[in-house]
Amino acid sequence: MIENLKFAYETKIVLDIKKLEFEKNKIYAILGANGSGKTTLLKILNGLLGTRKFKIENSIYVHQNPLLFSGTVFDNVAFGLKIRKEKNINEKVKDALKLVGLENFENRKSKNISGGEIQRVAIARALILQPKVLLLDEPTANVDKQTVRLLEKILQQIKNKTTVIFASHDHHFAKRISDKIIYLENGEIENLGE
Amino acid sequence: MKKFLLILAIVALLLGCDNKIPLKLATTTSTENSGLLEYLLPEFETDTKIKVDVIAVGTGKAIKLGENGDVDVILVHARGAENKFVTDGFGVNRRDVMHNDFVIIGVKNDVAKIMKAQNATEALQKIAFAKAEFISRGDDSGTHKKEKNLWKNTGILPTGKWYKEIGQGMGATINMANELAGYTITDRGTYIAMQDKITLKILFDGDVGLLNPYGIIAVNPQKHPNVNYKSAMKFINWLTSEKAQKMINQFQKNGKQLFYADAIK
Amino acid sequence: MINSFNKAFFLLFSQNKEVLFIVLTSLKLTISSVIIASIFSIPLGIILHLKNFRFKRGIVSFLHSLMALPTVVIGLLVYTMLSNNGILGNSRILFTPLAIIIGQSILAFPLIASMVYAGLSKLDSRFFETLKTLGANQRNIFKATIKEAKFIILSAILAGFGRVIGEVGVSMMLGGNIRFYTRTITTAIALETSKGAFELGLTLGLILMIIALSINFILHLWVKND
Repeated sequence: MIENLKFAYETKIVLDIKKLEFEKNKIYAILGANGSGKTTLLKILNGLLGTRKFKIENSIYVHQNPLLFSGTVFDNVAFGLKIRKEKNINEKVKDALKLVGLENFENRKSKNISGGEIQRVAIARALILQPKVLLLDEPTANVDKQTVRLLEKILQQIKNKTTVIFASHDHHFAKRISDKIIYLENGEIENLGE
Repeated sequence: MKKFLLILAIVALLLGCDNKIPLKLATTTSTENSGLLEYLLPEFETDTKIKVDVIAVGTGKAIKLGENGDVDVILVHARGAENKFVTDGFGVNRRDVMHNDFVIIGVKNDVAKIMKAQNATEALQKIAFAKAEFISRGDDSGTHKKEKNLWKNTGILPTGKWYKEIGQGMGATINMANELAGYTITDRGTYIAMQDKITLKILFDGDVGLLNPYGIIAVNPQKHPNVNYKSAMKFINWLTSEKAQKMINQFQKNGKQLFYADAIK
Repeated sequence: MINSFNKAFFLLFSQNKEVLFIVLTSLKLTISSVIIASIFSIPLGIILHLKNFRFKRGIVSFLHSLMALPTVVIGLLVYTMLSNNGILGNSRILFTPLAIIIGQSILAFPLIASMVYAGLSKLDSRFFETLKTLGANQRNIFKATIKEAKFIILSAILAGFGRVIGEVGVSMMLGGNIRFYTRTITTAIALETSKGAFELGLTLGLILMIIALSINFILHLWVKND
C-alpha cells in the first residue's frame, strides 16, 4: 500500500499519488499516455528511483526494451542465481527458459536473438529469482503478436505465485489480462477501474 | 575569420624566418655547454654582421650533418674523424682552433685507486680491475671516441654491469656518475661548469693522452653547392684570428681557463 | 634516405641481438608499467562512474590535468624523489628498469582511469538499473561492469600501452638509456638519431609501428568476433 507518493524531477512534479494499493497474486495494468509517469512509478516501486519508502521488497523491474548482458542467454538468466551463490543453476535456468518458451536457448549469444526473445529472456532472468512482484514496463511494445500471446500465457502461469504490475498503453492487452487497471494521467491516478 | 587566419599565417612566417641567411654551425655539446660560444659569437656577429645558428650535438652527428650538407661549418674534437671528413671530400680548410683536456672524475674515496695511476691507461685499467662503476657516453661523440681510444690502449674490452654505455650527453653522463657514485671521463670545461652541483672530484688529469684538440672545417661547396661557404670561411678566419684566439685564452669559468688557443703560437 | 630504409629492413630481419634486446626491454617495461597502472586505475575509473562522492569532480579534473603533463615533467618529479638527495635516495632505484616502471606507471595511470571513466558513461543506463533490480551488490556490480565493459577497459589499457611504449622522457631520465640494461626502443631511437645513424633508428621505429599496428589489429579482430 502506498500513500502520499510525490516525485519530482528538479521542480517538476511528475507523480502525485494519494493512495495506491496492490493485492497479492493479482495482475495490475497501469495505463496512461507517454509521459504520464508510468515508468517513474514502476521504478519507484522497485526502489530504482526516489526514497526507499515506497520500495516493494522482493520485486524485480523489467525495462521496456530490456537490456541483456553480453555473453550467452544462460549467462543472463543465471546472473541472479550466481550472485546469490545458489545451487542447481543449470536446472533452474532450464526451467525458467521452458516457462518463457525458449527451451535450448542457453548457449545462444544474447546479441544474436530477436526483440521478442530478448523480452522473454529478460522475464526469465527476473522470474528465476521468484520475486513476489514483477514490474514490467511496456512488455508489449516493440514485440510481435505471437510474443504478445506468449506473454499472456506466461503471466497467467505465474499468477498464483507472483503479483504482476505492468505499464502499457495497449488497452486491449490490459483489459484481457489484468485484474485491475490503474489510469495514470499527468502523474495522478484518475480512477480505479474494475 | 579568413583575414584573421591570413594575418596569423603572415605573423607565423615573419617569426619563422630571418631575411639574412645565417651561418649554420654544427658543434659539440661541450663548446655549447661551457658557454664559450655564447661568449665568442656576439663578437663575431658585430664584426661581420653574420648571424650564427648553433646546432650543438655529438661530434658523430655534427660530422654527419656536415656530410649531408645540412650545416655550413663544423667545430668538433675528434682528429681521426676530422681527417676522414676532409679526405672523403666533405670538408675543406681544416684549421686547429684550440684544445682543452679530459679528466677522470669519481667519488673522493676512489675505490679503484686511480689517483695513484701513472697515466690515463693505467687509471682505466684500475677501474676495470676493480669493476668500479664507469659511465660511458656511448654516443659516438668526440668524448666517447676519445674514451674508446683510451680503452683500446689498455687492451681491455670494457663489458659487464659495471660499464654503463648510456648514449647521452656529457651533462647527463656526469649526473648519472654522480647518482651512481661511479667514474666517468669528461672534458674539464663541462666538469668545471657542473662541479658545484655534484660531489664528484677530479681524480686523474694532466696526462698527454687526455689532451683534446678542437678543429674547425668548412663544408666543401663542391660537394654541396648550396652551403654558405663564404660565411663559413669568414668564421674560420675570424676564429683563428689573433683577436678570437686571445678571447679564447681569456675565457674563464669559475675562475679557471677552459680552452687553450692553438691557431696562433 | 632510401638507402637508410633498405638498411633498416635488413636490420629488422637480420638476427640482431642488440635490437632484439632493446625491443624485449621495451615490451617488458611497458607491460609491467601498464599492469601496475591498470591495477589502480581501472578500479578508480569504475568507482568514479558508480559512486557519487564529494571530491569526485575534483578527482576527475585532476586526472585530466595529469594526462596533460609532459612525460619529462613526470620523469623529473620521480627523478627528484629517487635521486641521492631525494626522499627515496637510499633505495638505489634511479637508472634501473624499476625506475622506468615507476615513472611509466604514473604516466599511464591517469590516462587509463580517465578513459575507463569516460567509456563507462557510454554504457547503457539500463545496465546499472538491471544489475540493481536483480539484486546485485557493489561487488557484483563492480565485477559485472568489468565483464560488460571489457572492450572499454581493454581499449583504455591499450591506450595506456601506446602512451607508455612511445614515450621517451621518462625512460631517458629515469632509466638513463644504459646499453643492455635500460635502453628502450624510444631512447635508442633518440640516441641513434643523435649519432646521425638513422638506420637503426628507422628499424626500431618500424618495430614500434608493427607492435602498435598488430595490437590494434588483434583488438579489432576480437571486437569483431565477440
